[in-house]
Amino acid sequence: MRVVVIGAGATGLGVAWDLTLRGIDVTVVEARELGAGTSGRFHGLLHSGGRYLVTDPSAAKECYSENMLLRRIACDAVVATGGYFVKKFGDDSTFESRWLSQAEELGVPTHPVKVAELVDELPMLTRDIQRAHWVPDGVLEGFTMLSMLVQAIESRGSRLFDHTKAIRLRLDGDRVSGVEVEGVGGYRVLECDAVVNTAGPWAGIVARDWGLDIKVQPSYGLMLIFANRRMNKVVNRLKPPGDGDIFVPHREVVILGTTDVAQGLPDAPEPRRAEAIRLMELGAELVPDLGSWRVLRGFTGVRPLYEPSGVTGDSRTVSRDFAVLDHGETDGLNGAFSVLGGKWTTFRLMGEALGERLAKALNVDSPSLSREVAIERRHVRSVPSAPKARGALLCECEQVYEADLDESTATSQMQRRFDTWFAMGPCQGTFCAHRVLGRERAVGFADELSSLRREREHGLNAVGWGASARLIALEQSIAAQSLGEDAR
Amino acid sequence: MRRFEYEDACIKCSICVTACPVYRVDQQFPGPKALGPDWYRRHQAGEQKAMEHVSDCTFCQLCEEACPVDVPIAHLIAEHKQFANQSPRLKLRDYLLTHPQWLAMAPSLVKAPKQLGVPLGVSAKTQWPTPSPTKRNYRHQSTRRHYDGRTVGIYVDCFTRGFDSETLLAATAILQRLGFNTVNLPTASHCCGAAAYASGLIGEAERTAKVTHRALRRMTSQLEAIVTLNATCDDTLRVEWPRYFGLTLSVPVTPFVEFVLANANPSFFAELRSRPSQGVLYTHATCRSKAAKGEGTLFSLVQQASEQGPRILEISCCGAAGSYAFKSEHTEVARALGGRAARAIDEPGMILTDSGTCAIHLEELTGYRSVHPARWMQSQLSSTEVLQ
Repeated sequence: MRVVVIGAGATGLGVAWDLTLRGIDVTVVEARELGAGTSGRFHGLLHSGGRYLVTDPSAAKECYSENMLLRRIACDAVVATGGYFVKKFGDDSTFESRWLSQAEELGVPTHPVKVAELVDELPMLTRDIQRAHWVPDGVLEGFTMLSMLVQAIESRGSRLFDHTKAIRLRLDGDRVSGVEVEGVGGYRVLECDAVVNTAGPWAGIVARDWGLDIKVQPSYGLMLIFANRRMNKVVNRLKPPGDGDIFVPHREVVILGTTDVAQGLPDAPEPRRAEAIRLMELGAELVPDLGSWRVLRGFTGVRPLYEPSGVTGDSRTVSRDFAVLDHGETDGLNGAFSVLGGKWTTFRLMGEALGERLAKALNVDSPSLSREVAIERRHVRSVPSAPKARGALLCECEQVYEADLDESTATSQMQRRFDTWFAMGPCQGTFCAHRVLGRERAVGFADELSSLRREREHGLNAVGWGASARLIALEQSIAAQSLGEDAR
Repeated sequence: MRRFEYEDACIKCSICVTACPVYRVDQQFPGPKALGPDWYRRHQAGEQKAMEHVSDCTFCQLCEEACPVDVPIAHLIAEHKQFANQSPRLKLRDYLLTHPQWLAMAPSLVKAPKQLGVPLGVSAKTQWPTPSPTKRNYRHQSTRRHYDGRTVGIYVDCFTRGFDSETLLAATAILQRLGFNTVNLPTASHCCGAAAYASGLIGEAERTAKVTHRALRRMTSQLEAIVTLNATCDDTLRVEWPRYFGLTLSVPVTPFVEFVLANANPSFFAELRSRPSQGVLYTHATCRSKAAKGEGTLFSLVQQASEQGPRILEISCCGAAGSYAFKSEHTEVARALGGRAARAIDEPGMILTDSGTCAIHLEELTGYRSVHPARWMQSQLSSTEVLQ
């Protein structure tokens, strides 16, 4: 049994993992890079479900059970920080009581914390807090999790082809028999018994290629990354989910999310300054001194929301729940499936649900094992005891040595960046990008350097005030002197 | 966690690295950027281990002065020093060295054979100061020569108290000449906390500062200003007390050099200029005075007070850095830094510097007389040889 999965984001890899564990041979094709879509552009929150208790109870319940499960089966990617929901004076009390009774009913554990103790632990928070509740929020590190999944499926015989685009379905009557793909390996036909569309925001486009109509509603959100990990717990505002109401600590940084703007196209738009300033103002409702925190960059991610009944006006009201479509049942295209919507936290559950559906349709009798089998982390970057043995220090911000790059198994520059984290710290590649890319002097490295620098600059420009404004000036003058690029 | 401003603002430009005197002479030293903002960022994300060589920072703060985005680099390194894993032996030594107020009470301790300090990690090479010639009781020592005049307090720092009564007497005489009554503060031996902060004993620095603050506050009501003789203590009282410990004084704190420049009339300087010169005058503003006020104040004072004008000693840090040079593991770096001073002097002369420890260190390594500008001015005015 062979299956082709289109899209190497969390959904696609979750699907690939579940199917691989059922003994199915899976090929994941990804048009760009691992996690190049939504799964590389989020705040990485491992939801406790708290955020959706009132507005989206089924998503909340799924989030909580997957949260608990991932702590066991993917512990290398999970940081169990814990989180708080804080209610400010003046925030709707009836929402709080509904929230609490929903938590009780859905079995999401919460407990009240004393405000004095909260502000003692997180002194940057506003003193305007009336009540606060602890929840088992955490962080599920994006690229760690994705690369663990890739390693897991590859170690069991499945594979990922990145920079490979699915261009056409091959049919045998009304049944899928293969997928024509084109990419780094040239044109080829991947013969298969089923194909799964997990293209996230691009799922509608993939479906259109199949001659189907799927109502995906992409909505983008802006997030801001602060340079230092100023808080080590997730902090949410206890009111209906809105803009700029959540802080997530992630590695050395804190991420403030997010906005929610419905859009037509699946690509993430460039972050805009005005929106970043608005997000800062909203964030300041929880952290009054937020203006003094240095913002490293702004970035946008696109949610692949799915609304079966068609596009609605307000994307906040679209469920964060997911849907599995068997196009054999609905459209007469046997062996074609789509997994739509959903959340980072529930990627495994989405894989399991697809697996069940696919197994039933294709008479596979092996059960899902993804609930039981742990996903291991093979390549762990060791903290060097003798840094000298690891060669020159190339990225000072994230402590990336020459040896770290040599040990990385990534096949592309971008993947290597996510693998080692160079150019992700406070200099945003101003210095380390030159050292890393210049070290190899591969053909076209200047272009690659230039495009990496430009990509970093987009994120900086959106937050070009304070220290970031000075970094932009420095970064542009270095680009002008070393790459011959005029200041933009 | 201590609150800072701009702790996260580092743009990695490395200007601080080029300003760091230790980085220049010590190949092993990772430099202020790596030890300060880089480490501190990782520390906020959970890093608990100190980097090697963090204790080799002199806390001169020239990195902070150079930083274009105002990162409190040296203070982040001081936080970092707290995680350095030192042997109990060195911990004991640092604890003693970071309480100079004790040594100021019993300065004759330095007459003990140096070998006794070696097991404790005290440098056998670095020159120790000489205790003040006579035991003077600074308590209640004040002058009321000008009955309707204004009164300033002279902050008697630990070094001046224990080892440099000459400078205190000279400064007192000059301030009187400028029309001020003086009173010596505080009455008992107290440290401003600079030594402890520089060694990363920040809690101890704060406790020490609070005690001294109480002792000073009792005496400041009638004062016009507190005049300081040591640039490091000056910067600690004036900048670090309010910024890091929330301690404020009701009167301005001013370095002696700046106070004289602001309050002396032209005839004072004319008289000084009329005295014969004693070779080339090199000025060395200590690091903390450079970081806080620049090199210009000391230079201007000597320029106005001498016929031939001074030359700036073209070095950054002389290596003394308070108690730094007295720690055995720092001997070589301190000597390498001071050695640059010897090379910077091309004609015989005298070094004027606003710190007692810098003066003895420079004097030892250059072979030229090094004194506080107050002593030089007073000896010029009284026509006595400052070399005595």
